[in-house]
Amino acid sequence: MTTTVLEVKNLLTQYHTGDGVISAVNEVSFSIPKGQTVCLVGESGCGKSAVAMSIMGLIDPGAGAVKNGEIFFNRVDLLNIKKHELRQLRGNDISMIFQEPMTSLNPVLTVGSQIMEPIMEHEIISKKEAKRRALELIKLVGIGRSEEIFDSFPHQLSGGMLQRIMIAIALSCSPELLIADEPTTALDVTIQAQILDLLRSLKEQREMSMLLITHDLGVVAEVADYVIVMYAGKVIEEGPVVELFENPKHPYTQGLLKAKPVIGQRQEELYTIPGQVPNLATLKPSCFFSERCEHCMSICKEETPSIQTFDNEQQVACWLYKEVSIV
Amino acid sequence: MENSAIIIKKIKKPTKTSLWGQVIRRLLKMKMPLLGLAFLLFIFMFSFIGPFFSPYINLGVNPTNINQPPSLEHWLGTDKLGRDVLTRLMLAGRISLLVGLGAMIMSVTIGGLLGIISGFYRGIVDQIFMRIADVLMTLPGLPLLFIMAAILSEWKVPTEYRIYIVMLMLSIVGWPGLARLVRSQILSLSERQFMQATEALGLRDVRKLFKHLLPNIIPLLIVSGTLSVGGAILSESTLSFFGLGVVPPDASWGNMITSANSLIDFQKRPWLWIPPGLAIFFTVISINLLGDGLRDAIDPNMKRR
Repeated sequence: MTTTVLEVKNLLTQYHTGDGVISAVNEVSFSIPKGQTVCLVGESGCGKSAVAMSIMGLIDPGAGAVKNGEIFFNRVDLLNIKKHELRQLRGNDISMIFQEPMTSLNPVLTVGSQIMEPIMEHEIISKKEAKRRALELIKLVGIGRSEEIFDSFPHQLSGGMLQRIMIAIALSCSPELLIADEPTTALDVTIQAQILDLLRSLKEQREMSMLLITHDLGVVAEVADYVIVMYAGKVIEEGPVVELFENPKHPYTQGLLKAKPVIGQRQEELYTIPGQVPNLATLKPSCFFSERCEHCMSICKEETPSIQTFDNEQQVACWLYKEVSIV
Repeated sequence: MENSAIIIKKIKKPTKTSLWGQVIRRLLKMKMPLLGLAFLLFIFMFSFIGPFFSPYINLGVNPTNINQPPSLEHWLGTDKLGRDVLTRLMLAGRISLLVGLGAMIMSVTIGGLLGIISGFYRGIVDQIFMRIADVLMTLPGLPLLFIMAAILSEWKVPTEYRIYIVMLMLSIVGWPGLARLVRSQILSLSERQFMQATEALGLRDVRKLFKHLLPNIIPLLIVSGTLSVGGAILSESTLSFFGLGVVPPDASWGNMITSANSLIDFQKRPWLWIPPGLAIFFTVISINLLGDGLRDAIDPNMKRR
């Protein structure tokens, strides 16, 4: 049995908006074993990033809060931890790569000094040694001319380079868990592939666990061990990557997989899931996908389906399968 | 053909484009700010080095030679105590410039620090500092300075400490505006993603404040600091004109103009009050030109230059 690095139980994160309180993350539970990559998939606004922010404790207290649930990192309760202990964990044991490399680096500091910062913050180390480590990290993420890059400012580098720098910063203290929030969204396809390869090989070298947040199923197929599909703040299906791709059970997952363009085949029109993501503020107990579901039944409009496990470790929250199992 | 190839190569040569390199290059292209800078350099040399070339620096009053019009020995004439006006103008420049710079440094330090702390921590700290600033800003500046100066005169503060106290007074009046400006900048910077990233990296507050936020507002501090030197020199002159700032025997441009108070001096002896007046006028104008130029050069939104 492999050890669990991160365990999230019944997480409920709510934001206050003009329309009322919305549950961006609604009773989400999952765990990440050591050395594994878990992917969180879903449309924009389904609460993927809110999960990451909740784990990091970065939810702006003025906008929302984690209302319920538990988050354990190596058996440490992240929600009831002292502030300075959390600060020591962040960047050191858990680190995060942000979505927008262009805006996530301080524009007036050199790239090098920004890589050195977490090292100097979390380890007792001389400036010279930190610089040596920073140069090594720049090389590690596949950028040549490390000395030159070290002294350059963020605006002088391209998006792909900056994302590599972000990865270097995230890796600087050899974290156990890396949370990557759409690390490749802002990049073009060739760079995407390089970044993913890099993340995968680094993960293997360092036995790091990874929580990868993305809406790109190609990325999921590439790197994930385990996939969690979210819709409107809820987990609707999860399972090992191969099972889930071969045999998607939830109509939403099926739709997502159908909506993906296949290279080499030109279709008249790409498949789209009809309808829109529902307004989270006005949800009643129901299957949140029912409005858009082609298999919608009367019970779907009345009760929220609970999650149910299949033999092949796949889990689905859908009334379709409930009925089957009852019958 | 070959020539043009060489020229192209020269142009394409990668230049070190650090932030400050760019600022200096942009500044060097502007005429008026450079003119201002040149005049400021001149007035600094005039005030700080000039007196050493004056034969009258160690001579005090000379009752046999009072109120002389400009002549070859005394280029700007002498005052009612027989002192050389040109030498006094230089010595007064020292004090006026020092007071301006000192008040600027103090108000930038106080305003910057309180502004950063208010903007970063928000909440109760912010409330306290900003309410103090509000109170100071609702009181009219000049009467406030007069009252403070009058109290000081009452306490009989030794003259040699007066200029430091004048600096302090000016910075007390000057910091609230800057603190507000800095605070608003910090508030908007805090919402930027790189500040969230520093949080995710587990950096200490001190590091966030002074390594990440401070460098971002340094341009703002430089520009408003530069502009505030002019204001401080003016306020000091006003105070000294009313005999409440730097008091004789120490000279400042402001208390030299005091001679314009008497009708005879005003009508018959313009060499007593025109030179210090012009010195104030040109110094403040140069500072403002330089400040405006710096603002344009630093502003990243003005990339088309």
